[in-house]
Amino acid sequence: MKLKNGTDMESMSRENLIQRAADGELTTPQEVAAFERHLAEIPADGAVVEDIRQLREAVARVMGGEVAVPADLRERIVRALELVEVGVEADAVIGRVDAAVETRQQRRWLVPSGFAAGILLLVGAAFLISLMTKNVIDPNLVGGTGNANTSREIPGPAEWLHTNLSDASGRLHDELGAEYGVATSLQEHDLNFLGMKLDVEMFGSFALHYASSTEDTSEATHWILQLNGVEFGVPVNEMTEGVAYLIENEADSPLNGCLSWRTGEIVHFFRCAAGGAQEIDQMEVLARTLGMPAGEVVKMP
Amino acid sequence: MQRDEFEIRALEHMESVYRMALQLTRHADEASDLVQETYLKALRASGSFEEQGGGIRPWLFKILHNAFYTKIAKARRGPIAVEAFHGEESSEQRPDEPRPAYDLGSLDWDHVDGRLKAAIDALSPEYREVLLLWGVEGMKYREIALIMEVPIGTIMSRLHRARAILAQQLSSLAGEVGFRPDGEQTLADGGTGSGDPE
Repeated sequence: MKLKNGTDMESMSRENLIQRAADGELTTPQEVAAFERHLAEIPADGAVVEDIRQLREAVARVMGGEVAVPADLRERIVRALELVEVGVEADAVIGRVDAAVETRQQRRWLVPSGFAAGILLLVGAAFLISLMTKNVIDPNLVGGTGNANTSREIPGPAEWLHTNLSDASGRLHDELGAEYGVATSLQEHDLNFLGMKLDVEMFGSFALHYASSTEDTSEATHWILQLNGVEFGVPVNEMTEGVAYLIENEADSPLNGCLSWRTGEIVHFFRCAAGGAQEIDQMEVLARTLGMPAGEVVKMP
Repeated sequence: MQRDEFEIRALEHMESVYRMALQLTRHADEASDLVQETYLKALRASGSFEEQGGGIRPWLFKILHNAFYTKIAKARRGPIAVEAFHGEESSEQRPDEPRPAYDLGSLDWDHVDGRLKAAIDALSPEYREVLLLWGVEGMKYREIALIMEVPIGTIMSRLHRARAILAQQLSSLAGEVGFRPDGEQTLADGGTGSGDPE
């Protein structure tokens, strides 16, 4: 009997039988018996089965060797899973991964324009003006100003968070350079960083090379930001690159509890809100401004 | 499934998931991102995971497969059929078509590994994916069908076609090499082999 395409049905079922026999897919005694009968009729097909098995072994040998999994991949995944567990929806985390990839590919943080610098400082001052009463740099860090009490590294998911916050901050810098309206919108609201779904009461970032920041030549790798007459020291060296620190200054320091880190020439600060979710309209403004999805609020780990 | 249990069960397969991700994306960074996305989606869906034999691994591969093709569709700003992405013609070959004339038994496999790898790399992704799930991961038709969300017959067709392509290329290699250490006759010497009963 011939099928529409001219294939002989008997041939079709024979080929099917051989393939499934070679692949260990004969599941019933009847099928096994049918294959044995077939081999009795056409012994040469036993070699075909053997060919397929050899090919399978060769494919496994050639393609199945050890693969060099990136050393940090497991840690990345575990951190991301932790975030999901504490309430960040998986889609949001995945969205951040996408954003990070995009940023890696199209990173362009620093807007080399005086206009951008001016806007940036306005925004930064709005966030920090009431907070900048003391220096906050760990005296143990190279270039620190020496009057802070302690700082320490933030373990676990915070590292992942500040990486992504840095990416978002870079986008913010870009936007500030492009549209003044963005800056004014942000100044009118507490920054509650929606993209990370963190309940953040303060967030700011500063580009060291802008006009208002000056290098303190008395300390080789130390930069000074001047904010409303208050000097703020920033150590810039390999030790502090990309490392997040929890600021724990004197007991009455308004900066206590802030997380700070520096990536390249941009210094970041943020602090989680002491209580509750912020107003949803603020979230929406930020979501629109930063191009990030709205979602539930979670506390900083 | 709690996260701790999920981590234990799922991360055990990270290397094979990454290997497949690398095969699909052909780029280490993209593969890492794809693997991370796979695990996040898997954790989110872990409540609905049902053991269907083969443990959690086929399920992870299914999520990986879907995540990859979803990214492809997004990148192209619209849904796209797998076949369209691969430029595949509509004529999926059936597993029951006549076998090509080849004689893998005459090959000295020590000489063909490099050629085989190149031939596998040159396969279109849907053939390569099936072949690797079958050959490297040792999966059953049923598991591969679950991962790729196509009927078992389609899996058999793709596998058959992939093997036929490889066999064809390896047979030509046998012709080029023309010898076998144990002195058996080869195609180049006029050996008939057992490949084609037609």
